[in-house]
Formats: sequence, structure tokens, C-alpha cells
Amino acid sequence: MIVPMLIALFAYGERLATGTSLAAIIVIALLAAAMQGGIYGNVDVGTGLILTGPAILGVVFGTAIQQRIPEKSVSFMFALLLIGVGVYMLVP
Amino acid sequence: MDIAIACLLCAIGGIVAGLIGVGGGIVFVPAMTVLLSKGQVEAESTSLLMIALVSVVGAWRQKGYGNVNVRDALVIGLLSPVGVLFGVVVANEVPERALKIGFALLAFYMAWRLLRRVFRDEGAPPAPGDGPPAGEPVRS
Repeated sequence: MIVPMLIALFAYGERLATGTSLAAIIVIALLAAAMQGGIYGNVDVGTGLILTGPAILGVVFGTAIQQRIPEKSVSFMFALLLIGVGVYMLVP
Repeated sequence: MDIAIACLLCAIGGIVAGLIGVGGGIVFVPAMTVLLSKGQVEAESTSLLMIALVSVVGAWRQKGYGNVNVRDALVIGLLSPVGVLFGVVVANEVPERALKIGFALLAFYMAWRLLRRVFRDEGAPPAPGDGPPAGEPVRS
């Protein structure tokens, strides 16, 4: 919800919103991962690191693509994702 | 073979993360539960570690493109745990079905705001409720 909030409520441009969202997610995910791994021991570090490699290649590619497409297409993609999540939530 | 497909899916999750600024967990978690037979809790917990690392690289790349407001990111990141505590209390007081319907309505509202922005004419004045005119927020 960070990206649509920044775009729709705080007049951010799409690229600035997604970059700021990723930076905010660092803090959130680090705190949550530290709790889940450090306190509850639920993190499979080996599998996580194996899968993180391709994911990092993907995010580098994704951010590069994003600089080359119209900003509003990011809003459009995010709107489709939100509609999908909303419909999923409504399915009993 | 399954690990190769999981790697491919996680690469796609990373692309999605970079494109629209999400963590990618929406792809990472099913890749681990369906293909690697991880339990839901272990997959979600492991995806948090992945999301943290992917976000570091994604934010670093976006910072290079001039697309990160560090101050606002810190405010959002540090306030979110407070929101989580509030959410836990609400989740225990409100029926699950009502929570899902409420979240769906919020998702549809945000989607509508984004779509209105996408299809609004470039020269048209902002509609009421669109917030301040598109002044670029201060970049750090």
C-alpha cells in the first residue's frame, strides 16, 4: 500500500514512489526478518540466499525497465495488482 | 528441476519488485510453498529475508536514478511497526471476513485513484480530492 498511498495521497511521481517504497521496505523487512529468524528461527537462510540471487538480477532489470517506460504505466500495473488482490480477498 | 523453476519465478518476482516498488513476496512465497514444499510460516519468514536483500539492491538502483526520498522512506519504515501493532489488535477484534472485505474495498479505492490518474487528460486540472498539485516532493 506504500506506492499507491504516495502516488494518490501525496502527489508523488510513480518512479519516486516506487524507489521510496523499496527503501522503506528495507527497514520493514529487516525488522520482520530479524524477529522471525532471530526469535522464532523460521528463516531458511540457505534457501533464501539461493533464491535471492536471481531475484536481485530481476530487481536490477526491473528498475532499469521502469526508467524506460511511461510513468503512468506503473500506476496502471499497480492498479491491476490491487484489483487482483481485492478480488482474491472477496473470494470466500 | 524444482529449484531451477523457483529461481526463475524469483527472478520474475524481482522484476515485479523493481517495476512497481513492492517487495516481491507475492511471488517468493508461493515459489517456496508450491515448488520447494516449505511450510507457509517458513516460506513467509524466508521471503522477508529475501525482500530485505532485494529491496536494498532495488533502492540502491533507484537512488542512482534519483528516485528515492530517504527521509520519507525512513519515516514510513519506522512507523510501519506501529501500524503492525495496531493491525494485530484490530485483527483480533474484527471478524476475518470483515477484515478481508475492508482490505478489498481499500484496494479497489486505491486502484480507482491510480486509474483516474492514468486516464486523466494531461492538461486537465486535478479533480477534487486529488491532493496538492504535482509539486515534486523534496528529494534527499
